[in-house]
Amino acid sequence: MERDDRALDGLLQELARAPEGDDLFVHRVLAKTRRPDSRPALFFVAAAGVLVVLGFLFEPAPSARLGFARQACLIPEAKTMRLIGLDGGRRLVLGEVPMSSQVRVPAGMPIVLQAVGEDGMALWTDREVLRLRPREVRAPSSGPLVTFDRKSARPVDYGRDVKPILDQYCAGCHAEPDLLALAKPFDARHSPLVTETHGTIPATERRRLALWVDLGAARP
Amino acid sequence: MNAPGIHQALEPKDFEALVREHHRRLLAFGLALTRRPEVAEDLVQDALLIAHRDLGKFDAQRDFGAWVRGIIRMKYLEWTRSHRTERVSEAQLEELDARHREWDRAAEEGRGDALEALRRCREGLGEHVAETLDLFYVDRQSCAQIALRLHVSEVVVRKRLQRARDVLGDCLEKRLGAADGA
Repeated sequence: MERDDRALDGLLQELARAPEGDDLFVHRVLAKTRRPDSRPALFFVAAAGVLVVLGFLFEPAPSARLGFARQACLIPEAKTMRLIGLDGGRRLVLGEVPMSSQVRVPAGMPIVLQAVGEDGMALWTDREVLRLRPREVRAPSSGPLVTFDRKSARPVDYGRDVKPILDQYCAGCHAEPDLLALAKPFDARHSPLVTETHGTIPATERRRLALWVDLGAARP
Repeated sequence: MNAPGIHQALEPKDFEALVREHHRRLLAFGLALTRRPEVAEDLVQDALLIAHRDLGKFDAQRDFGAWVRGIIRMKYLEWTRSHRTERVSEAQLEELDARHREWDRAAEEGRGDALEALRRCREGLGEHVAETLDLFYVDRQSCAQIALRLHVSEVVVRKRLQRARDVLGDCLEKRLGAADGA
């Protein structure tokens, strides 16, 4: 009998979709089949609530795994991948890893990927906000696994990290609104605020400025 | 105990167990049809919800997988119509369904689960073939992208993928003790 590649193809796609046998799909389907006003359903909701609370108390936060093989292939000049966590209006740097790595990240947290060049500035910022499901594995690689969690995330704050630099090195000649107009959000590499400073801003402070711009140049 | 020929309805708790048992093979069926995970998930979810609604009409002694696949096929045809997408031919659908019937039977008779068997088969692939397979199925890269990444020609990528499928197909049949033509 001639082999049916389409059937095998479907199995391979399913293995790739949920390599760890993830059954979130089942939960979603079964949740839709339960009546919200029935007592058993209420019991299950209550039980699930208790389990969630116990889970938070005794289990590590649910996480997901992510690799960057595709981006490494498409942006060969990128050296590292920066993971930006979105927390309300704040942007947090979850961490930065070599392109060949894979990372474990908090599930459910909105994350934006940014490929970074050798000079520490963004080469590419993903337009899509990722929000991975618990135990989801997306584009895994065989590279080293690095874990990022909410605790290790560091916010970049305009008032604390950027304004003091502008005050010290730029405010003597330029008004703050004029300086801020020179920042192109998510593109420090082409922002005059970073690239055309005529004063002597030390490298560390310049990197901090670039990072704030690459994170979107948000200010209160 | 029901007498032969008497309709035996399915209980909700049985439905849950059957969904757990069959959902991954049903998703593989949906993926084989659409090749798009998000569409396959929607089709299978809709089919299972219809199955749940019509539980009273289903005879528990019949094949649950075949019943839901029938609903998925119906939903798939609706989807191709509404999206003006080229559809799989009726003959291919029959062939696909036949292969899934075999896999269902293998699971039922304790010969093994097709996905688990495939996972084990994949572990036996050579390094280059496995890498190509992962780039294609896991990273969902095109043959051209894979060729660029691995510094080989597209022809080599296609040959590796075909070889992977041949090896995996043989291995799967051996592991499940395929009952072709049964």
